[in-house]
Amino acid sequence: MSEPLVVVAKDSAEHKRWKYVQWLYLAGFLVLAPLVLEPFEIGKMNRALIMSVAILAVNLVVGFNGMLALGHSAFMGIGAFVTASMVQDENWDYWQVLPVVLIVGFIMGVVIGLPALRVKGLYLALVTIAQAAVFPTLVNIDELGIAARTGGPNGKGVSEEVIAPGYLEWLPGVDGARGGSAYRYWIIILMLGITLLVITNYLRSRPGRAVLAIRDNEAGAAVYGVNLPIVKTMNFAISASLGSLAGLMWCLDKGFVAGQDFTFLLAIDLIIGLVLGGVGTIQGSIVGGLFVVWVNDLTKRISIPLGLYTLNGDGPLAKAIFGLILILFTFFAPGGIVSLARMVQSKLIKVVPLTPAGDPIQPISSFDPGMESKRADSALKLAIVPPVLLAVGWLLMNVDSLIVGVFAFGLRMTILLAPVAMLVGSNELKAHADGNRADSVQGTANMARLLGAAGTLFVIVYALQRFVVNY
Amino acid sequence: MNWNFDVLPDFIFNGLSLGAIYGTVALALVLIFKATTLINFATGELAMLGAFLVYVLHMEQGIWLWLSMLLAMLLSAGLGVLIERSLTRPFDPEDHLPVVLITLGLFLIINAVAGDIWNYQVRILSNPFGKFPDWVPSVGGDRFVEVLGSRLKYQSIGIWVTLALALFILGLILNKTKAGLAFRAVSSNVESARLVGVHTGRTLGFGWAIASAFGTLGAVLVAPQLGGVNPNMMATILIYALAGAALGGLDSLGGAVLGGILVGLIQAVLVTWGGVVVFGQLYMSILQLAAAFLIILIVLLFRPAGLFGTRRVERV
Repeated sequence: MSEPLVVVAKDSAEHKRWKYVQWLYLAGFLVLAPLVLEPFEIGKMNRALIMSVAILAVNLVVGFNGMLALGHSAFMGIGAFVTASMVQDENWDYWQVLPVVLIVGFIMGVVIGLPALRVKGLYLALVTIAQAAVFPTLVNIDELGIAARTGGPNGKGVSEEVIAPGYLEWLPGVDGARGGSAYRYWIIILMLGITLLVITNYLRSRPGRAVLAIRDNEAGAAVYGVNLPIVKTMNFAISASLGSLAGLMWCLDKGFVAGQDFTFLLAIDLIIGLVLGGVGTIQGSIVGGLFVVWVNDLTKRISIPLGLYTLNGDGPLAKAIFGLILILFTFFAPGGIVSLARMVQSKLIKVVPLTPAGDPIQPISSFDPGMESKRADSALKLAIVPPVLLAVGWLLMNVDSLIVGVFAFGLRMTILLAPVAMLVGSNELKAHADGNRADSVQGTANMARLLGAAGTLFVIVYALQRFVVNY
Repeated sequence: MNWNFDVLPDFIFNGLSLGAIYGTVALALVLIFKATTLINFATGELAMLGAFLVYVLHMEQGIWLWLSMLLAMLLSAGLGVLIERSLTRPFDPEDHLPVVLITLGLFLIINAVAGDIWNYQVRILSNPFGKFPDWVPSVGGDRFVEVLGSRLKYQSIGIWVTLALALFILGLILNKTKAGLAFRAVSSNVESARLVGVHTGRTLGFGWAIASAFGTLGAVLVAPQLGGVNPNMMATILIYALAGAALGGLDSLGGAVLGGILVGLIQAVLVTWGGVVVFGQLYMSILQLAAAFLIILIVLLFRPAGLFGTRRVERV
């Protein structure tokens, strides 16, 4: 598959159709998640999305400004404890706490960032690692009423549960047994969406571009009149404020916060999510959050049958696997999952940019392989491999529930690839009808289209079946 | 306020011996920073692994404690060389992020593997200065001499002497051997060192080796104060050592030792004794770790290069 399977001109009707398909997938994922998942899985999804916000905060400093920050667990903790204390002790609403948390996080960011960011080098890493190590002990201080506010070593619970008001019960998944977590899911999705909007616009604004300029060439940015310490500190403070927002969401979702949740290990989790997802990309933060929770889960599932677990079900091996992933990604995939996904995408579809006049920069037909086309073969492979994985996974699943992963992986592959195979198959048939392909292509293309359609149908039926089983 | 000066020397002695240990670990940090401008976050875990090597060699295999310390230092030096060669050398030293991520990954792996092998329980490791001839005065098993009306433990003296000896040997290595000369050349200017024919990679490996050995020494010396060895023993010590290194100047070897000692003194005298004076109770002990954090912040605010570090001049 050296040549891309589909070539479209940018903004052409076909490209728009592909874009719509992408949005459809995203919307389908968002709507189906609270409907199809088990309640505890929705909780995991919530946690993943919260991690995504926190990873985005770290990314703002590490990925977009090129500084090393290792202490965002402390900002999360501050946000979470402020929220818990205000909601539980002062009877505030969550949305009332929101501006307070953002401002407190911002101020903490300035206080910690300003000394470290005045000087060049690894000093921010130095300060933030100490900050992450110190925070869990600060929570337990008896003086100044801190322990009373934070609950000290016992942690602090919020007794009021977040449930949907009557006028919001139409949201998918909100009525019924999983109402609470599904409603929180929608709140978190809303907050994540607003955050993404704000951050993408921030990065396109004048200060945002200054932040990127500092990453790319510090001296050059200074020459162009960027005030290095101010811009760096403001960026760090915005990141800290975002980290506190993640803390608020944590408190909202879990209803319980404790100092030992916000240790250095959480900070490392954030860094791992960042590297897994892709440093310096917005999508990478979201993917990283999902993966860090998923990998955590997976390592637990591997550790327990091997007898390598501690009381919280978190084997010592789990952290080793995390460390290994960190090192392997740094060596072999420094761009993270996002860059891997982009590589795969570039094999599947190529978007040809336009000239200012609005024509493709290179005629689309020049990408057509003509009689030599191997696209039908590739499409057939795409149509066959995921269902085989699916079947193998299903068989293995019955042997040992440990290997559910293969099935799940096959399912995801089918969801992603079966429609592509179907579309490429019919494209090839169309090209054959135009007399642009050898006759031998016909059979393979037909097969790819058929199998792809079957895969797509299977996915739809499977989703419907899960839906019916749940209701 | 109750200015209890009678107990002050106790706190000072305690601070000095803690500080000597922080200084040792800070030295391990600075040795690597000086050569590569990189903070090795796995320093503490490598040191912990070294302490466990001593545990295995001495407590399980029954080798004489000082010999097993020497062996463990050699082994961890070898491990340091291995890590430098296989994990950090492929990366561009100017780009901090990948190498820091590698050291964080090592931190997780070493901690988890040690936890898997030896559990997270504290295991008793013999005190290197625990046995003395009978003529040494003692009260309740603690050997001490009286200085200024306070008890100066032999253990503290032992730590100081050991550290002084180790520093002396380090000084000899750096100043009298060819490898030491190469190390100084590389840490002063990598490019120039390479141009005059110094094998920079091998020299950096040498730096990692000495650093790992020093970390192991620090971990073994601190173990008796923590009641023994366990996989999380170096977590807080690393923070104090970072504070010490920042205070002394990240690129000054002597500064690291003095900075570590100062941090130990600040922790023992200013925070603990001062806390007793102000509050009449040991309230502030919980603030000790925060003191390390504050030291780093204050140093960065007023003297970013540290007390003895060279001010960095950027050429644009």
